[in-house]
Amino acid sequence: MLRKVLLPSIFLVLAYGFWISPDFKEIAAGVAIFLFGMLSLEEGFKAFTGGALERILRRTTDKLWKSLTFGVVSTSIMQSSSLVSVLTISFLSAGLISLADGIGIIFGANLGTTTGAWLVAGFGLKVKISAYAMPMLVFGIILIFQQSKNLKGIGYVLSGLGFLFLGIHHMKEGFEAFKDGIDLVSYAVPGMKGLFIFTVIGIFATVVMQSSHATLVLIITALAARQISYENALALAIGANVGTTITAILGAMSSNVAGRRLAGAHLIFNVITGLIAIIFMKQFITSVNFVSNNVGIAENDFTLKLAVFHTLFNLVGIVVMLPFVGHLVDFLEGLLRGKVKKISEPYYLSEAVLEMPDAAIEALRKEADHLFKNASNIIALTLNIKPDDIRSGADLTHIVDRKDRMAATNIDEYYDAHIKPLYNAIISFVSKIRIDDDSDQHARLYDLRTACRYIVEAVKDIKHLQKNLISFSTSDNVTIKREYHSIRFQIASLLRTIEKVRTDEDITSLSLDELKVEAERNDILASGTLDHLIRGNLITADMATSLINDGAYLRDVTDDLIETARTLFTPYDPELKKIEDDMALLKDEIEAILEKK
Amino acid sequence: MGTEKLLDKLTNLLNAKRRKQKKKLNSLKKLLKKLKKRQEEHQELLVAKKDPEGRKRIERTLKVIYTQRKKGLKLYKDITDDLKGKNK
Repeated sequence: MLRKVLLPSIFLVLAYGFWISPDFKEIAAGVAIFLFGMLSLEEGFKAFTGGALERILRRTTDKLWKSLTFGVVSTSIMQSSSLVSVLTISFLSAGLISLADGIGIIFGANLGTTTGAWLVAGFGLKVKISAYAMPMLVFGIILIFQQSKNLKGIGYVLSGLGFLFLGIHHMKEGFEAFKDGIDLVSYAVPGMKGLFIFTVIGIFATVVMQSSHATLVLIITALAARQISYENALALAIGANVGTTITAILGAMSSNVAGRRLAGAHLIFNVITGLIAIIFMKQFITSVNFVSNNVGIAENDFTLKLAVFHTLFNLVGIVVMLPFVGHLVDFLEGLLRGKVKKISEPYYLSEAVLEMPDAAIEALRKEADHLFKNASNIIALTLNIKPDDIRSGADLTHIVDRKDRMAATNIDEYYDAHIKPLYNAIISFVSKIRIDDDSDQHARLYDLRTACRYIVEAVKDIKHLQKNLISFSTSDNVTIKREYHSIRFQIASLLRTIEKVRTDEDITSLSLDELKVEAERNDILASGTLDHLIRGNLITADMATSLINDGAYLRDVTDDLIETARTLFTPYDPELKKIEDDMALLKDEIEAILEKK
Repeated sequence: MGTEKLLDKLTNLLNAKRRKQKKKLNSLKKLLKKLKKRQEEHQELLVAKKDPEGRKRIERTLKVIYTQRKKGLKLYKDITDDLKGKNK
């Protein structure tokens, strides 16, 4: 109930907000564009998983000092710790780096961002990255339309960055109204109380302006005009450091749990560093004076001293926090638990059975059966049918009819969780079994491995079929809708028959010939059905092509599953296998049964 | 045990190929029995089935079993002939 009401309520509140405040509309649009940029960025980085970027990132972040350096260097170049933290979140979400590596980068980014204070204080320079948003979007979108996977990936990354900058720009624009209201002088309070107040102002100003750099410029201007004391300026800098984490927190909203953990690490680091700086403010001021004297900064050059302070307190933060990175990872993983993604693990493959070939082969057969069950479930779900319905005795026609409107099952996700891990384990296990090459056991081993490959191929083929199964399930053309409905029925029927073969002890591999006959009968090309549909103008040429392709996938799925069943579910006896091979139906015999000849 | 049966057992023991053929024949006999049973089950199903599509499917299954049994029986005859030829 709450769920049903929540979304419309959010829409109503937002719509009302847009109506009464154009600034609010701009800020909200900025957040939306920013989040869209994050999604695009993650999509882009996903294209590079397993490729060059992954190798580069692995090499540059595999040790804590390396990830720290990566953070320092990249932030110094980009002049935005927020951007580096957001990028790191997307790396992490795409599984390119670990949480510990990400924390290292974030720590480094905090130090790297202090170079900004030096630039602003020393040279009055500021690298304005938001100016690149438009060209990035244009180049990015052009690249997205390219065929090459890598170019597409780069396109998504570029347009993602473009949207990020554009989003930040709109948020800043929206907050302009609030900016004018920040009058630092009115809050000037001496002592510890003043420190806390100015830290909070620093946080607020950075959240509002979406840039710790902008806050720093504000602080330096106010300091130069003697509107605030030196101590208050330091507190503002601490606040700016904490406030800058808002961008990472925003970025983590669209990210998975790994990204949220990193945003959490960012916040914890900056808050703790800020607290250390506030508590030991006197010691910090002494140290800043000491360093300034030694590097030749004038006694009254508070702006450069501010830069020294900024660097020093972030450096101290890193030194203090580094030994606790492991604990921080444990803490965040405990605090922010992801949905436990169930991944299939092998039940039967153990090192212990490797020494006994017969036991190893039986373990392998059982594991292949496990793999088949997972594949069967995925195929059923792709057909929009509950796996239990396949195993039940309920009328299949009724089941397939009931779920006519197709929903998209994420096959890739299922494949990664329930097929790939098992198949990997099986392949690795087979490679470890030592059996003579010319023995029956070796032949059996080969058959079982091939059966596993068939299972994997069947899942991949069903993925190809999925697109049209979904799109034609709602087609206005009754004929094409019926044909795809029939494809669903045929696969469901095949799964059910194989399920019977799986549990029937009296079954022989010859019984699978019945499935072969049905497959031949249902072959849309061989049966002449397709010609009839085209000649009768019942389907378009486009639909006909889809049917031809999908008919081939259907045939592949059928053949793969029949061969799998033959290897896994019929009794294995090398002598009997030869006899059964002699008795199995040949192509012309199948055609004779179907009265094609 | 009769002399003929005893001689048969002795020949089996000494002739590896013949021994193998006998084993094959036994496996084939079991397989044919299973097919026969399956055929009878489907014949019963056909009697009970009313819808035309379901009946056609069972009829196709029966044709498959029939063709397989026919091939099996021929194989059976070939092996027994072979064994008899060896006996001669």
